[in-house]
Amino acid sequence: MLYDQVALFQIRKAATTLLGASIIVLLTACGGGDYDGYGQMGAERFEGSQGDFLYVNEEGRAIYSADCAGCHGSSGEGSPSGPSLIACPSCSSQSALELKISQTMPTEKPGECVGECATNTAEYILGVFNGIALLTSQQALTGVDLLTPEQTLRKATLNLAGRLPSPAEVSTITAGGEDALDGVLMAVMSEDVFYERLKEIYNDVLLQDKYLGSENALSLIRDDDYPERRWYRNLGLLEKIDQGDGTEINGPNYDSDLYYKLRRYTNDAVGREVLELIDYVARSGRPFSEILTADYTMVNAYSARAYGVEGQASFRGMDEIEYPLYPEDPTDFQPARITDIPHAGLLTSVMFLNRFPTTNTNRNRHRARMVYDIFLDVDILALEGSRPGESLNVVGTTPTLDNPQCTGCHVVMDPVASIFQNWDYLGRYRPSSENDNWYTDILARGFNGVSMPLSGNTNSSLQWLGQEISRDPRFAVATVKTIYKGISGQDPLIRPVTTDTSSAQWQAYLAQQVTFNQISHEFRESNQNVKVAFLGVIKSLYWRATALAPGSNADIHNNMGSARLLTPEMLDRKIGAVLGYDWVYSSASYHWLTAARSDSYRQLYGGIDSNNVINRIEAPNGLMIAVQDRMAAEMACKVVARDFFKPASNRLLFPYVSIDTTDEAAVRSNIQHLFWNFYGEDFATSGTEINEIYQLFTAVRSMGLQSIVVDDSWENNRLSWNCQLRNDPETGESLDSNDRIELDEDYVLRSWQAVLNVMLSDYQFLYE
Amino acid sequence: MNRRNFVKLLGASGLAISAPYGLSSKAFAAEDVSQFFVMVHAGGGWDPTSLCDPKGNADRSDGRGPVNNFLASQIQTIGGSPIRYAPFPDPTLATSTLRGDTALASFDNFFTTYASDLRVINGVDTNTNSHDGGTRYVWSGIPEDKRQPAFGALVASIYGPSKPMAFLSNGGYDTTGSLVAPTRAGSASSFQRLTYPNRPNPSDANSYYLNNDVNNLVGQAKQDRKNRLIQQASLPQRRRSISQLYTVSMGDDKLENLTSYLPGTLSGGIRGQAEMAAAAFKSGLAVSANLVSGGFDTHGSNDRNQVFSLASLIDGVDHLMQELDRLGIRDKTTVLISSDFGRTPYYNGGNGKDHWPVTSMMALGMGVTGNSVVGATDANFNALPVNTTTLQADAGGIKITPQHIHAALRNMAGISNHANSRQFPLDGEYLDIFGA
Repeated sequence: MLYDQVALFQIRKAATTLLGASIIVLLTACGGGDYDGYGQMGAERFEGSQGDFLYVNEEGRAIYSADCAGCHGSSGEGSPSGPSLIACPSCSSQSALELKISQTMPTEKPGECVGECATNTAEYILGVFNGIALLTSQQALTGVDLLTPEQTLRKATLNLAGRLPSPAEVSTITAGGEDALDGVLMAVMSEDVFYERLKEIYNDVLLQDKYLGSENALSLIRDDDYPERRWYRNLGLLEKIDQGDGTEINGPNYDSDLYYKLRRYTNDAVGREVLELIDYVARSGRPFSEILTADYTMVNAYSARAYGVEGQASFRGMDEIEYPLYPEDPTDFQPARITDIPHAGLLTSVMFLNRFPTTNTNRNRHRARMVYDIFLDVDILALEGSRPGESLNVVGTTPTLDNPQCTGCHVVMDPVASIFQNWDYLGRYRPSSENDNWYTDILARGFNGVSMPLSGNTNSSLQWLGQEISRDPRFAVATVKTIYKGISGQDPLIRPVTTDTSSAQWQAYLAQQVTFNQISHEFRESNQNVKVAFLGVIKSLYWRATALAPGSNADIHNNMGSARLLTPEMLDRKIGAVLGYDWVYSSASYHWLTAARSDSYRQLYGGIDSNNVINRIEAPNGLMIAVQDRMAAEMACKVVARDFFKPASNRLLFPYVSIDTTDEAAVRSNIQHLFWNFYGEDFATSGTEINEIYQLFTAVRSMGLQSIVVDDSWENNRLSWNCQLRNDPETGESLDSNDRIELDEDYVLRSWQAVLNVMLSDYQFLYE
Repeated sequence: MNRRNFVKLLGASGLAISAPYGLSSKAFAAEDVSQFFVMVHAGGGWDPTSLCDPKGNADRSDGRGPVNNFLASQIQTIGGSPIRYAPFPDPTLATSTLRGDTALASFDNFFTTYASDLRVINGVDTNTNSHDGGTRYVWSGIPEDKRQPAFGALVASIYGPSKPMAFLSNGGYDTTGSLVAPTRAGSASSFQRLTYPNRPNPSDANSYYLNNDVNNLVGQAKQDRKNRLIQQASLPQRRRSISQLYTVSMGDDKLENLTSYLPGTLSGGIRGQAEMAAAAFKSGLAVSANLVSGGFDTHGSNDRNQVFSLASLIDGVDHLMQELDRLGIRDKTTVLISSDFGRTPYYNGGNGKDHWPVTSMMALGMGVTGNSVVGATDANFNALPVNTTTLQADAGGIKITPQHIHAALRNMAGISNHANSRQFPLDGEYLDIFGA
């Protein structure tokens, strides 16, 4: 389908509001007639107008070059010292931008650029940076085929909720079209799996899962502060009593199983408190920046004991209570305030502070860098490229204060590093009264060129920082980029090295910036509802593009359309959703793709352990292909008999055929069903792909029947032993011989097994 | 359609031109590759003065104390060789502080065993004290972040782009510039199941999910489907990802080859990484590998922690060389050892050392002139300019940077003018770093 009307409307609205009248006139001229010349509504492909006209306010250019470019970048792309001006919040209109300039610019002397100065500068910024960007964005829209609303729903539901859309959801979208997507997807994003997905995405940048297991998290909080951190050790659960004869007996409370459960419930809750905060803020619809401003942390019933705050909240009970003394569900997290801790969301979590550690010489700079990188979309290390080719002069002076080779980074980083001064290298809170040795040769606490007011903030400076970041438009951009990377698997484009802004690289970059800034704007307008950011990314052409018209500029569209290799976690969920059964070790004790075990495929398939391996592999290698082949062979074997065991109305895979169906029309209908469920492809039963799979089905069956003629053995008339169904798949109980599915005298089951084997190892199954 | 015809199809569709992965229809074999490369990364920033560029304990003139705690007279030498190395273990440390791990190779063993193959490159100026930036620069030769490939990825993309495990990475800098996919080895116990995907019981040759005839039909159907997909794809990103899926397919018996070259029991840590790399080279599945050993970010207790980490590192290299020997490919393998950057030539309040932009590299094996030291630092571990011909200290010369090293490395590998290399040009004067 064409790039949908809703999205077009958004772009039109953006263009109408973002650009001055002169630009609109230009676009109209390019598009022909009125503004609807942007696209041919109802056509199968959106054909946008082309144009390279541009109005440049030369007076504005001169002012900008002299007074603005130093912070905002020569192309308005922004820098650590100043935000991007491409589709910036104040770029909503000429008047808004003029007002912003008049009141706040230049930062060191507000009020110096008013009247004509502000008018010219605003016109230059809107015309050049936003004009180019919007023209580019518009060009990027041309000639791109997008997923239909139904396909978008399927892809989003699998990605965000790990399941296929329900028939009711599909019906809603079919009836309501594009307009119905928001409502259905918002409902999808209220499911538990979505919040798991959100945590997965943020763990990829915060790497908190490093602390799961054993006492990895608990060892980071200190006895001095939390004497009950290992409270389960005091219950005598591992107590042995010496009999005096060299033997021991279990103590009266001995229960090692309970001990290790309580330890896991406690440790993993502490280890996941940062991610659970993100979950809580998103789930309760709070402004997403509360992850940095919350005056509480998240605990479950067990970590509450470790922190000594067990009285502050009540917790949901487990569905099945194994130990009456410990009925609380360890997955239920509630907010709690730890005594005397000035909470600032995840910034003050001992887990966050330890994951990004510091030393007495690093002085919290690592922490500051990560805050900029994750929450402000500023890569301080990117400034390194400007360093001259000589060794740094780091001896004899305070280079971070006075060496120009260093100050470019440090003037941005060090005030934030100083803000962390109330938190030591162990992540412990140390009020300034106990912390009189903070350094004098580092910039004082501040952010964005503003010094932190000491009054009221001296011992709680991270709270001040959290509030500052929450108001900073870069937080929205950073959030959108994290989500984009998380659900598309693509890195946002980096600023091109070339200075030729008419190059395809630049056009692609600017177009993407416009998209991100537009989504960021919607995110802010929604009071930072993180689900709005997800919606924006999902509905963007970066995620929905499926094909390109012949002759379109492939360079500009180089990163259009999300075709990501599914992560181990995503593939694991998709297998379960599509087949109805998980790919698990034979005892079902763990999932092959996700278990944190040395013999699982988690890392081999490109996953991370959040500790030593922290970057996902995003392109398949030979071993990963071998994993795919193994999965396809195992799961095709496993699910054929199991699915046929169910009543037809309950089958995920074979609703249109029975165990002995060979009728061509029925088989084709079922293959059609598989194409939709596996790939989201809606083909006619006579289509090429259906033909090919049908031919495979008949070829396998024909070959199999011939083999039975030659070898009519007991074995050759049956499914492979591992593929037979001898036990009830739900209860595990042995089935009566009549109910078992073992025989395959017509070679139908093995033909379906071959079909599934091919379809499960297919590009369309492994990528989304 | 067989693989060869598919390759023709890709060419006809224009895909081969835009695909990030080269294509080859050859069977995989170690003989395909003229040279293998192993990059050994000391993660966190090693202290060259505790290994191959020792200074001794003379106090600095600026009052910051000594560079090292050991005496200058304790610095070790090898007869007839310019190579000098730090004493091991540091005499100020009790042996017990080395965690009792007496199995590790000592510095003496390492340097005396490999001196004739070894070239030490001192005084390498990384111009950074950032872990990410330093690691990127040292292993790619380019300081800025341009998503440039690590050398291992670059050479793998040229020598064996279609090899299923062309670039084996255990971490460090393994960005590939979209030239080739990195592979993580995982555990050996996983391999047998992957080696025989159609066997429910991998060790039972008579067990199968689908009999061989049907399995062949399945394989053919998969191939046909890929052909159709590649013809239909129009978005560049989609074409890339489809081509990736095809070009790296493992084939039928390649993992079997690899497992046959592994030791009976795979070791842990860097030793295991070395075993996997050597077996992957020998089986013709890989061209290059990153090995990684950590524990070098010694802001506290520098000497104790560096010595232990260095011992573990060189023990891994020693094991690698033995594995390459065992498999008969040592003479066609080049090994490079380095780190993010160096550490300060003075101790901080916690007896640790912080980040310092000067580092060293050690190179041995094919293409490397051994028994030699190039580059230089002064008594305070500052990089000195070197003569561009002799590579010895010369006030009128230039400082060695990772760019120089990579230019020489590309030249040694014969890939300087390849299109993949030209995508990521290196600046600066050419220095014959390896003396080949």
